[in-house]
Amino acid sequence: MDKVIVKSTFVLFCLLGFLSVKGHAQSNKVVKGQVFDQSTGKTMPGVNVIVKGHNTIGTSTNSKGEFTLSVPSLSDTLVFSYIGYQRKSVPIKKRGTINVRMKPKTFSGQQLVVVGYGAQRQQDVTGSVSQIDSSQFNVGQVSNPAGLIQGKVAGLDINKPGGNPNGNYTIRLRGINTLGPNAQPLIVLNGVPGASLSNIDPNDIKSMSVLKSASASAIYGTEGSNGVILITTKSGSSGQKPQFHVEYKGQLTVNTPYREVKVFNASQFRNFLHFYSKETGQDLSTTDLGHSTNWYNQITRDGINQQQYIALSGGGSNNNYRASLNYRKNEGLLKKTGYTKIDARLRLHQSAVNNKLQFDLNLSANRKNAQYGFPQAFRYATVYNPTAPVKSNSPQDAKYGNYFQQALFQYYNPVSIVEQNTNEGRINNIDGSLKGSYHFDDLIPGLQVSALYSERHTKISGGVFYPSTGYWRGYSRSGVATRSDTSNYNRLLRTTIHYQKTIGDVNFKLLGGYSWQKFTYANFSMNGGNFITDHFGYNNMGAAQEFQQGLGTVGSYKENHKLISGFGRLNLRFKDLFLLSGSIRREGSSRFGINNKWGTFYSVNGGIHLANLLDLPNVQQLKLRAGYGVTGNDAPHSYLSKLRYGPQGYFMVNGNYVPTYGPVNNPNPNLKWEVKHETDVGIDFALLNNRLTGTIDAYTDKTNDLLLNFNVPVPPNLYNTEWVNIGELSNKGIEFTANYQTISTKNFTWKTGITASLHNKTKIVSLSNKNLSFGNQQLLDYAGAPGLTSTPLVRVKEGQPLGQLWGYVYQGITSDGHWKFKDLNGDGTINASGDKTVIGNGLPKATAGWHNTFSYKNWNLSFFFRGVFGHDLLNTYRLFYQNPNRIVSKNVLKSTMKVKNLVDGTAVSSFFVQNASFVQLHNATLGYSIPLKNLKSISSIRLSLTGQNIFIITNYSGPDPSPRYSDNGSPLQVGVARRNSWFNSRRVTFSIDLKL
Amino acid sequence: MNLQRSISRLFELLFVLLILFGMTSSCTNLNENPPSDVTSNNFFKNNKQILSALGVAYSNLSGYGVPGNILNVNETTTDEMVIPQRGKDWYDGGEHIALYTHTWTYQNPKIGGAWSWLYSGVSSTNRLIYQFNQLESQGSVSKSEGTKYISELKVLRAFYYYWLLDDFGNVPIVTKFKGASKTPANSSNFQDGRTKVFNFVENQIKSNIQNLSRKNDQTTFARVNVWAAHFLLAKLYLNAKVYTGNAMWQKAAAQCDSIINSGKFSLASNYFSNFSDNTQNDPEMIWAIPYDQVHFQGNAWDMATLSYANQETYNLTAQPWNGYATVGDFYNSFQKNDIRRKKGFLHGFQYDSNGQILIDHNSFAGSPHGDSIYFDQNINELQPRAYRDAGARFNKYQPDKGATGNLSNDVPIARYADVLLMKAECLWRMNQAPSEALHLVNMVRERAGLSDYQTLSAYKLLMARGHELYVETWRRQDLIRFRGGLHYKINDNGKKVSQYKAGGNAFEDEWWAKPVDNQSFRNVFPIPQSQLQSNPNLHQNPGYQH
Repeated sequence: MDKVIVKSTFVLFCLLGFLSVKGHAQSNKVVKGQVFDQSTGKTMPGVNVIVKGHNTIGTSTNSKGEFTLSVPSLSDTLVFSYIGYQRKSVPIKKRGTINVRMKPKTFSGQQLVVVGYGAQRQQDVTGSVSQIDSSQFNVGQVSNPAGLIQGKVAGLDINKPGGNPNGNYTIRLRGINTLGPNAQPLIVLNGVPGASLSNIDPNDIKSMSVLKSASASAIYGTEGSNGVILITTKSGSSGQKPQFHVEYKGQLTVNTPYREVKVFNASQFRNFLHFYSKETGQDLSTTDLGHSTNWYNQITRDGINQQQYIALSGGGSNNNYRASLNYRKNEGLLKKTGYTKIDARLRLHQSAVNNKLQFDLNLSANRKNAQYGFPQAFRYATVYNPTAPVKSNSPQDAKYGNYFQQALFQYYNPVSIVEQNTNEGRINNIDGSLKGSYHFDDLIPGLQVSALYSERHTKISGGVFYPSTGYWRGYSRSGVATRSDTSNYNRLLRTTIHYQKTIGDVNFKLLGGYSWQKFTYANFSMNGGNFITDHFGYNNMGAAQEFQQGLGTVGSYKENHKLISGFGRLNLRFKDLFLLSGSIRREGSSRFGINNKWGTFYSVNGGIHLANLLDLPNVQQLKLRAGYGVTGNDAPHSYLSKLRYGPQGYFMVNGNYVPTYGPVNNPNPNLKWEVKHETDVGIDFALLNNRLTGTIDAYTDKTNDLLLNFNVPVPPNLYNTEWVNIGELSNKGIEFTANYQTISTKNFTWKTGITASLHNKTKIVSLSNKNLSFGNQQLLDYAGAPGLTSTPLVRVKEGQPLGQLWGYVYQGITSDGHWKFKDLNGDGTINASGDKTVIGNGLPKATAGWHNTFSYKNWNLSFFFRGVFGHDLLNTYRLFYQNPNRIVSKNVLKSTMKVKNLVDGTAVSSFFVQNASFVQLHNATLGYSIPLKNLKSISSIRLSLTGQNIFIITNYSGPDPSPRYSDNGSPLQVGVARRNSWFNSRRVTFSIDLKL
Repeated sequence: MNLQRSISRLFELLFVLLILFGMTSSCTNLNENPPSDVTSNNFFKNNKQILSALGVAYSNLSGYGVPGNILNVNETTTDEMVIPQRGKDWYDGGEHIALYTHTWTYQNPKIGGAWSWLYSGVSSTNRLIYQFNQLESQGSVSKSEGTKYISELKVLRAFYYYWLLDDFGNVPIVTKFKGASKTPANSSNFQDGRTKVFNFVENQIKSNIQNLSRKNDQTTFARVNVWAAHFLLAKLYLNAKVYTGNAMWQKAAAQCDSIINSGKFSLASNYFSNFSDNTQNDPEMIWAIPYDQVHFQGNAWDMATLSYANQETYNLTAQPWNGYATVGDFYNSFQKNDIRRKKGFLHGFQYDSNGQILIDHNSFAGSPHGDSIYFDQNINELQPRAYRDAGARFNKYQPDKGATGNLSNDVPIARYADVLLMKAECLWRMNQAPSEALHLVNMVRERAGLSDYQTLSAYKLLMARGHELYVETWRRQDLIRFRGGLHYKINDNGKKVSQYKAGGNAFEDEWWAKPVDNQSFRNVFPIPQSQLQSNPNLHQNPGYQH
C-alpha cells in the first residue's frame, strides 16, 4: 500500500511539470505595466497575465517584472496570477499602463513545531510529527505529562491500567517495535534527552511534540526507535517594556473507586453457599462466619487530592525568566497509598553582545514522598469471605494483631495487609542544564554555535516493613524490613552548529553536532527480619537479628553506560514548494561488543506543497510528504558482551564454607544494535480557510536484530539464556487526525477534532537466525497459583501476530458440570498438547479520540472521548475466582451464578478471554471566566469543574480494559490482566486559575 | 564599538575552543569496566580466588536430592512419592500427575528442568577445566595442584553425565568450553549414543581416579574423593545391562569391595544421622551435599512436604506448601517397627508447638477428620480432590525449630548402606556367596530395628533398597533394573494382600493409581522440547514426540 502512495507521489511530481505551460495570444491594443510584491515592494518576474474571457491571450512578466500585452479591447480585464500569490483581476479601464501589487497567499503552517535539535515551521516539516500545545491538553487532575496527551496523538497509545496514584503510564508508538525492556519513547526535555516524565510538572509544559516516524526521529539515532517526545516548558516573555506575570492554579479533586469487581455480598454468599451445599451434599455450615463485611469498602476510600501551583514570569529586552512551584497531595483510593510532591522549576534566558550571545538556564528540583501500599489487597478483598469479620477477639488472632485470619493457601485478610504493613519511599530529583549559543553573523552570516551541559541526579529511597503481627508476611519471620536506595546520575555534553543560507529560491539549513552522555546507576538494599519489637519499622535495620544469624541479605550494584555520537542534518527548501531533508547520526554505545559499538542511523524525507503549486480553491495547505528512516535501540543492560564473574554461593573446603565465584551471564561479544527501518507517507492539509486542518499518515516498519534474552543450548553455553540479536518484527498502520472549527461567531464557538489510528497487529516475522532457532512455538507466561503455576497463557510463534492468548476453546458446560472444550485434534480426549489454540490477541487494532470544545461568552464546555478497540484480555479474576467450588471457603465473583453447576476446577479457555474494546468519557469540563472589567490588577480568573474517567463502555468485566503490553517484564507476554491490579478511579476536580 | 567587537571576537574564539575541546578530549572511548563484577583480567590472582572458582562446580549441586527437577523425575515417577492434586492446589498444568502416571510429554517442565540442571553442571565443569588448564599453563597453579583439581572436576562432570546417561540416555557429549559446537549433536541411533555416554563416563572416572584424594576426612568432606569415584563406578556397572545391554555385576561388586575393604566406612548407629545438619563425622557418608540455611541453600524438604499449618509445629519462618507425600502402599510395605517408617514419615494427627491439634479451615467436605489435620497414608484419590491432609509426609530431613525454607540438613549422594545393598544385589544376581549377600542386607535391616532375613528374593532386595534409600533419587533406576514385577503389596502385618504379574520391568508395572504402562520407551525421558527448539542437531529419544 505504501508503495502505491510513493509511486503516485512521483507521478504527481511529473504532472506538475506540465502545468506551468502558458497560453499565447494575438491582438491589436497594447497594455504595459509592472508587477510588484505588495509586502516587500520588489518586482516580480514570471507572473502570468491573461485577458479575462480569452484564456489564450496572455504573457508573463520579464526579469524586471514588466509585461507588454496586446489586448482585444481596452475595456477588458487582466488577470494576474503567480504561484503563492492571490489571483488578482484588474479592469483595464482604457489605461495604457497598469502597475499591479500582488498579495502573497496566506498559507497555514506558520506556527513553529519543535523537532529534533530545533524548531521548524509546521509547513516545512517532512516527517510525521504531532505537536500538542497546552491549550489542547487533557484537563482535570493530571499528575504526569503523559496524561496530558493521552488519546490526542494518533498512533501513540498511552495507558495506565488502574488508579494507582504512584503508577506509571505505558506508552507505545505504532505498535510493538522491540522485544527488549526499552519500549518507551525517548523523552527530551528542553533539548535534553533521557528525562523522566514523572519529574516534569504538567503545569509547566508549553507543548509536547511527538516524533512518530523514524524519518523524524532518526536524528536521535539509538534512542529514537520507540518515538521521541519533545517537551518544551513555558518561558517568560521578553519585550521592550519590562513584564511581570503571576499565575496561580488551585485544584481540589475527589477520587472515588470505579468499576470494582463484582463479588457476592454476605447475603448473596450465604445463598450461594446454601445452594452449593445442597447441590454437592457437603456440610458447609462452618464457612458462614456470621458477619457481614464489604471488603472493598474496608480497603478503599474517597481520596482527596489537592494541588497548588504558582508561577512567576517576566522579562526585559535582553532576558526573560519563569519560576514555578507546585505542591500536590494525592490520596489513593486504596487506604495508605498516595503521595505529596513538590516541584520547582526555573527557566532563565539572557542575551548579550547585541543578541549574538544567548544563555539558557533550566533548573528543576522535585521531591516526592510516596506511600505505595500493596495492590495484593485488591486480590484478597475479592476472595475474602464476606461473612468473616475484619477483627476478632479470639486468642488465636491475638498474635495477628486481632485481625481475623484463616490458615489457607494464599489467603490473607486484606484490611490487615493495608493497615499493618508499610511500603513507602522518597524520590529526590534535581536536574539542570546550561546552554550557550553564539551567532557568528560578523564572521559568517547564518552560523550559530551552541554548547550544552546538563546533569540529572535522581535518588529513590524505599522502605518496607511487615510487622511481627502481620500474618501475611511479617509473622513467620518476627517482622521483616527492607531498605533500599537507588540513584541515577546522568550527564550530557553536546555541541551543535546551525548554519542557514538562502541562495536564490533555495533555503539551506545545516545542523552538525556531537554528543556525549554518561549514565550511572547504583543501588543498595538490605532485607532482614526477626525483630524483638515492631517499633523501629525499617528505621533500625541493625536490630534485625537475621543479620546475626546470617539470614539477612545486603546487596549493592553499580552500572555505567555511555552513548557518544556525531550527527548532522540538511534541510532544503525550494520556495514554499519543495522540501527535502536528510539526517545522519553515528552513535556508539558502551553496551555492545567491542566490534559492534558503533551504528549509523539516517533518514531521507521529501515534501511538496500541492496547494502552492496548484490553484486550489479553499485549500490553504496540501502537503504530501514521504520519508524513510533508520533508528536503533540500545542494549537493556551494561556489560552483556563481557564474561563476568560474581559470588555464586559457597562450598566446603576443609569443613568450612568458602565463597565461590562463577560466571553471572553468557557473554555475547557480538551483541549489536537493534535496528528499525520505517517508511512513512503523509498528507498535511488545511481547508476551508484553515477551519479544517489535519493529517493522514501511513507507515510500514520492520525491526531487525531484535535484542532478546534467548534460549540457548547448555553446553556450550553457561546459562540457558543469552542476550542476542535475532529475528524481525513488522508493523503497519494508518493514522488520521482532523480538527474542525464547526461554528465560529462572536459569542459562540464549537471546535471538534478526532484522532484515529488503525494498526495491523505487530507481526513476529522471525525469531531465528542461522545459529539459533526459536523452535516451532513457545508457550509462556504461567497463570500462577493456586493450581495453574505451569499453565501457559501466551503462545509465541514465528510468522504470527504478537500477543496471542493460548488455551482451550470453550463450548459450554455439560449438564453434569464439566467443561466442554473443543476437541481440536479429534482424538476423543481433551489435553493440553493437542487441543489448545489461539483464543485471542492482546494487542489493539485501533485507537481513537474525539474532542469537542464549546464556548459561549464566558462559559466553556469541553469533553473528550477516548477509545481503544480490538484487543482481548485474559481476565484472571474470572479465571481464578469464578468457580463455584471455591465457595467452600472463599468468596467468588457474582458471575459464578452463570456457571453454578460447574464441578471442575478452572482451566484456561476462551471462556476467560474477553474482548476489551472500550470507549471512555476520558474527561469533561465546564469552565467560567469571571468578567473583570473593574479589576486592573487581575487579568483573568477562571473557574472550572472537571470529571475524569466519567464512564467506560466495554464488555470486559475486569477492573480495567486497558491493553496490557507486557507481563512479568516481558513484551512477548501481552494481554494478561493480573489479579493484583489496581481498580480504577473516577475523579471530579474543582479548579481555579488566576492570572495577574 | 571597538570594545564590543573585541568582546564578540573573544567569545567567538572561546566557542571554537569549546567545540574543539568537546570533539576531541571527551573522545570516543566506550570501553566497559564493570564495577560490581569481576572479569578474568582482575580475578584468579591468588589461591583464595582460584579455590573460589572451583567451588562453582559444587555449589551447582544444590538442587540434588531435594524437591525439584532432578529429584521429581526420579522419584515422583515411582512407587515412593506422589504429588496428588489437592483441589485447586498442585495441579500445575498436570506436570506432577503426568510424571506419576507415566504420561509425560517432552514439554514437562520438570524434565526440562532436570536436563538444564545437569547440563549447567557439565557447562560449569567444562569451563573450570578450561580455566585450570589456563592457570596451569600460566604457572598460577602448579602442575600437580592443577592435575588434582582437573581430575576432581572431571569426575564431578562424570557424575552429571552419569545422570544424563540414566535419565536421558543418548545425549551429546560436550567437553570443551572454548570452541565447542554451538549446537552439539547426539547420536542418530539411541543405543549407540547411550553406549557412547556409558563409555565416556567409565573412561573419565577410571582415568582420573588415581589423582583423587584417598582421604575420607574434613579435607574431602562434600568433595569428590577416590571413594566417591568408586561409588559412581559401582552405580554405572550395577545398571550396565540397562544402559548397554551387557550386565557387569562382577565389576560392580569389585567397586563396592574397594569401598568396603578400605575400612574407612561403617554404618552409622543412628539411621537419621545421615540426614542431620552436619554429616561430616558420619561414618557412613561417602559423598554429601552440605546444605545449610545460610551458606548452601536449596534443601526445601520442609516446604515441599509439610502442611501449611505445620508451620506452627516447627515455628518455621515460612509457610509450607503441602505437596509431596508418600504412596500409601509404599508406606504400608514397611514393617510397623521399622524405625525408618516410624520416624521417617509424619503420619496421623498434627500438632502445633504447644501440643494443640492443627486445624485446616479449608479442608474438603467429606475429609475423614474434618478440620483436624490427619496425615492418612492412604490417599483418597490422585486427582482432582485428594484431601488436603491425605498422604504420609516425608520426615527424613527433620526441621529444626525456627527453620527457614532452606533446611540445614545435609543430603547424601553416596552412603555406605547403599554400597552394602549394591554388593548384596550383585552377589545375588551372580548366584554367588549367598550368605554374604544375606549378611549385607541384614546389616542394614538390623540398624532399622528389624529381624534378619533368612533368604533373599528380587522383591526383598528391591524393597530393601526402597526402605533404606527412599527419596534419595535412586528409586527410578532401581525399578527399571528389576525385571519381574513389583510383588510387594503388603499390609501392616507383613502379609501380602495382592500380587502382580510380571510386566516388563518394575517401573512399567502398576502401583497405586498408576496402571501398567508397558511403554519401555519411558525408561528414559524425552529430550525436552526447549532443547530441541534451541538445538536442531538433537535427535529425540525413540517413542517421543519431536
